[in-house]
Amino acid sequence: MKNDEIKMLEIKEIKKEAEGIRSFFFSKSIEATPGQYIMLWVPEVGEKPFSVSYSNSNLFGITVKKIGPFTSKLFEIKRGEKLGVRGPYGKGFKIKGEKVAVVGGGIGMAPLGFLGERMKNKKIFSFIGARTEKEMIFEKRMKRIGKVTIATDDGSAGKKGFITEELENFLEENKIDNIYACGPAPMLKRIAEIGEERAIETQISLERKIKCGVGICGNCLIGDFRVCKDGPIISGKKALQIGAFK
Amino acid sequence: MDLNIGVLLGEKSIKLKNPLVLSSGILDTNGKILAKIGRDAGAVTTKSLGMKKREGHKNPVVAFYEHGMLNSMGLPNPGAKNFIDEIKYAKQHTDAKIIASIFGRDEEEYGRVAEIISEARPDIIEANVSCPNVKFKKMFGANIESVKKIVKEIKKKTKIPLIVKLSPNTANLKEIAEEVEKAGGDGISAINTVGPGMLINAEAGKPVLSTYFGGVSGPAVKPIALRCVYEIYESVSIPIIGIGGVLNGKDAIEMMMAGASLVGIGSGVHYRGENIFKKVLNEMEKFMKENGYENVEEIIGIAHKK
Ligand SMILES: Cc1cc2nc3c(=O)[nH]c(=O)nc-3n(C[C@H](O)[C@H](O)[C@H](O)COP(=O)(O)OP(=O)(O)OC[C@H]3O[C@@H](n4cnc5c(N)ncnc54)[C@H](O)[C@@H]3O)c2cc1C
Ligand SMILES: Cc1cc2nc3c(=O)[nH]c(=O)nc-3n(C[C@H](O)[C@H](O)[C@H](O)COP(=O)(O)O)c2cc1C
Ligand code: FES
Repeated sequence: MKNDEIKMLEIKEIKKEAEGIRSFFFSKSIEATPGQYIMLWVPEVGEKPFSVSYSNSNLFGITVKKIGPFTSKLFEIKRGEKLGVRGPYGKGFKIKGEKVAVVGGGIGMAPLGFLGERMKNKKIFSFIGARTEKEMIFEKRMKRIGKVTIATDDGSAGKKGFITEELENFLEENKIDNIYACGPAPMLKRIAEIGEERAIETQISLERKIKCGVGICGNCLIGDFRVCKDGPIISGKKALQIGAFK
Repeated sequence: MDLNIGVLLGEKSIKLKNPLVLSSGILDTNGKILAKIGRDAGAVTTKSLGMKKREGHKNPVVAFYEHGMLNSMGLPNPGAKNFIDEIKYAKQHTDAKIIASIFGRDEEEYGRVAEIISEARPDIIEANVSCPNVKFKKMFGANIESVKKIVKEIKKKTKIPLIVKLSPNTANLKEIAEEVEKAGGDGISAINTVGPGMLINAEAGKPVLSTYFGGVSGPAVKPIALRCVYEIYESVSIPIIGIGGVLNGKDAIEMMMAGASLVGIGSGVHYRGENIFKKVLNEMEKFMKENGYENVEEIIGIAHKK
C-alpha cells in the first residue's frame, strides 16, 4: 500500500498550455496507464484528483485548468516547490482497435495526449473541442501522432460548433474501431450514444467528487459503480446503462 | 462446514448466512452497493444516518501509513428520511440482513432518527455513539448517562432490535457495555475507529488530514479491537459484533474467539478489495477444516477461561 502514502514531489517545470491551463511536471516516473489519476495534495488547501497527462521513464505531469479555489491556489505554486501525490488510482483506458478516434473537450484532453502516445501502430484521428481557440490544448501534440480535427463554440478555431458533430461527419465516410473520450458530461453522453447508434466500442472518462480515491467511502458511486476505483474509465454502453448522465 | 449463524437480539432470533458484516461508513451510501456487498456478506450496515443532510469534511479526509489508515469523513449522509428508499431497495435485492446505522446530535434525536428509519424496516438498528470525528456537545459513547439515555430514547420509538456501537477511546468500556445491556440494548458492536490519531507529512511539515485528527482503522487497530471485544464479552451476555482490523480469515476467527458472534469488516475493503468477504469466508472455512471445527458457532468466546 506504499502508493497510498503521500509523497512530496518537487515541481520540475510548469508549462503554460493555453489560457488558464498549465501543466505541472514532476521529475519522477510513475507507473500509470492513460486514464488513471493521482490525488494531488496542496498542504492546508486540499486534495483533488488529476489525470496523468504526461509520463515517460523519468518524469510525469498533470494538466490543470484554473476553475475554483483549489486550482487557483495551485496556480500560485512555483517551480522548485513541492506538492503531495498519492496514487496512481483507478482503471485506465484499455488500448485496442486499429483505427481509433480520440475525442477531447476542453481540459478533457488531459489524459488523451498521454493515451495517444501510448498507442503504437494505430491510425489515430483526434477531435479536439474547446470554448475558444485560447483554451485549446494539445493540438500540436496530437498532430504528431495522427490527423487532427478541431472545433470551437465561438468559431475562433476550426469549425464553429460541437466537436461531436465533427466526429459524426467523419464517421459518415470512415470506419473506426474504437472511440476514446474525455470532457464535459453532455459531450460524453453524446459519444456514448454515437457508439450505440453505430455499434462502435467507446471508452469514456467519468467525473465525480472523489474523496478517498481507493473505493471505500462511497462518495463517488453511481449505483454500485465506484468512479474512483472501477472507473474513471468506463465503456459508453455501461455508462448509459448505469445512468451516469442523469 | 457450516458458516450459518443465528444471533438472539432481544426476543428476535436473526439468522445470517455467515458471520461477516460490512461495517458502517464503507461502501454503503446507496441501496445498490449494499445489495452488491450483500451477495457475499451476512449483513450490511448503512452509512451513519442523522436527522439532516451533512456534507462531511473537506479533503484530505483519508490518510494512509504503513500500518493502517485514518479518516475524518465527518459523517456525510443524506439524512435518514432520504435513505429510506435505499434500505427498501437493498432489502429487496439481497438476502443479507440490513443494519441501519444512526446518530443524533443529542440523546433525544437518536430516538427521532430511529423512528424515521424504522419505516424502512431494517433488520437491526445500530446506534453510533462513537464517531470521534464530529464535535457534538459531547462524545456520547464515553458517557455512561448518555449511552443509557440514548438506548431508552430509541427503545421508546421502535421495536427493531438495537445494537450500540461503542468506542475504544474510553477507560469505562466495561461499565458502558453493562449499561447498554441494563438499559435494554440488544447487542453491542465494537470498535469504532481508535484515537483520534494524527499523521504529519515530514517533507511538507504539515498535518495531512484537513481536520488534523482522524480515527485510526485497519491492521493497526486489531489488537485493541480484540481486547475490547474480549472485555465486553466478560461483562455482558448480549451478542457482540467484533470490528477492527479484520483483513483475513484468521483475523475473523480470532475476533470470534474473543467473543464476537458476528465480525465487521471496514478498511479491509481497501486492503483486499470489494470481494474481501468472499476471500475471508474461504479462509475461515479452510481454517475450520484444518482445525476440526464443524460449526462456526463453536468458536465464539473460546479464548475465555471456562
Ligand atoms: C478522475 C478525475 C480526473 C480529473 N482530472 C483533471 C485534470 O486532468 N485536469 C483538471 O484540470 N481537472 C481534473 N479533474 C477535476 C479536478 O479534480 C477538480 O475538480 C477541478 O480542478 C476543480 O477544482 P477547484 O477546487 O479549483 O474548483 P471547485 O472548487 O471544485 O469549483 C469551483 C467552481 O467551479 C465549478 N466547477 C467545478 N468543476 C467544473 C467543471 N469541470 N466545469 C465547469 N465548472 C466547474 C464549481 O461548480 C464551482 O462553482 C478531474 C476530476 C476527476 C474526478
Ligand atoms: C472511511 C471510513 C468511514 C467510516 N464511517 C463510519 C460511520 O459513518 N459510522 C460508524 O459507525 N463507523 C464508521 N467507520 C468505522 C468503521 O465502521 C469501523 O468501526 C472501524 O473502521 C474499524 O474497523 P476496520 O479496521 O475494519 O475499518 C468508518 C471507517 C472508515 C475507514
Ligand atoms: S471516492 Fe471514496 S469510494 Fe470513490
